[in-house]
Amino acid sequence: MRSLGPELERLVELLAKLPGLGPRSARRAALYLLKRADGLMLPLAESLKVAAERIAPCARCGNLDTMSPCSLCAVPNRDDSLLCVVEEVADLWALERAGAFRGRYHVLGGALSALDGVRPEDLRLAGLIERVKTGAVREVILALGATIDGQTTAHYVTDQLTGLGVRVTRLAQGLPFGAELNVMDDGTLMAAFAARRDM
Amino acid sequence: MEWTDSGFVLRARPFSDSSVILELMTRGHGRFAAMFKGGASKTKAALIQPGNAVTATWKARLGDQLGFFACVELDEAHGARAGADGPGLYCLAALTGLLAQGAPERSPLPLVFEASETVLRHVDAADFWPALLARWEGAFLANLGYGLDLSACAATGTATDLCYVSPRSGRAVSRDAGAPYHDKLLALPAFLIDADAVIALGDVGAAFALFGFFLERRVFDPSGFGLPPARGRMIEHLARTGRL
Repeated sequence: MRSLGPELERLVELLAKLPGLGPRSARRAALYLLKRADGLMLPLAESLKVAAERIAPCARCGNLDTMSPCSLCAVPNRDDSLLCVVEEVADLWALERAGAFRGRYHVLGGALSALDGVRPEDLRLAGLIERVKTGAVREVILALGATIDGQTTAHYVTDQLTGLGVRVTRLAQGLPFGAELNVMDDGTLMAAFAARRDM
Repeated sequence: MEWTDSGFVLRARPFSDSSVILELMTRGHGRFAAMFKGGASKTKAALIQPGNAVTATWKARLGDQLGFFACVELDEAHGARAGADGPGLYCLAALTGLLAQGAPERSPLPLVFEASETVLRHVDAADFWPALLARWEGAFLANLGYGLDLSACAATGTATDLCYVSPRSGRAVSRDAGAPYHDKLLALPAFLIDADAVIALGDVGAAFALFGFFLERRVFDPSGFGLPPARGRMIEHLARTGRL
């Protein structure tokens, strides 16, 4: 790496910190950017600067946006009685891409993890309980990961919401669309059998 | 070096974009962590969920190296069974948390392994696992070398009517001998010394309080960790649902 100048070395070092990039691919990305300085590198730098300065978590739901409340919280034509709880902003984006939900969101900021030391205090649980208590929420939909940590979090959240007079549901678990039975893992098959329903 | 052993998953920590450090509780090699190449892929996610029983093959050039799990095959998806039954997740999290933080690394604990397997097999039996897990904690303490002596009263030597444990010595105390020190002694529920005893309301809570006290004092505090928070959440859940 010493063959590079200090500025280029710094650029490669920073790019290599991005997920999916190692030092070799970071060098390739740096060269690609340098060849397109006006068309890509400067707009990218400007965009990164603006994003770092202006994008922050929404005080209400935890979504990332330039304003707080965020555009999803501010828009009036969504159903206030449905609140979908997700682990991360990426999950919120996935649900929005699917266009399957027209209610409000709440981003927890992770999942409880016994082994990684993520505790209830580390999640945005107090905000969720506050929203349920004070808002017009009738149903809380737990759209958390189908992992042990995700499901543990779902049950913990359910426990916390018990007695607040709100219906708590979770997303179905089972076979993904387009899946063949013979390649499914045991856990998915068990969940699919448990969640079978009448035709 | 190479071995194949049965075990169950305690946790998987990210190592690189494609690999994880997989930590297993194995029958013959104790708590064992090694690299699992490809473990970060979506196809392996269901395999390495905590609690899943697996058969793993470990390889390394030398025995004291980190090494890698060359092959990990699912034997039983305890994690998914616990996931289907909500309260079982609390049990699973407490069990894996206690083992991951309390069991010594690469030191076989075959009796703890077998007791853990029993708990995992009943993780979806909500009426059964709380007492089973409480007994497991007693076995865990004993196998770490901190077992309680519940065979006879520390003061009188009698083996009948034992209903307290001394927090200092970890020995049982009979009802009569312990009566003057009732507030300072820990309660000893009957089901911990008599397998046929009926488990009354409050017994499981008393067992968790008893073993929690000694686990904290003798295992977790000296190692710099407190008791795993997942254990506290499990007890909180049992208390809320009236099953302590």
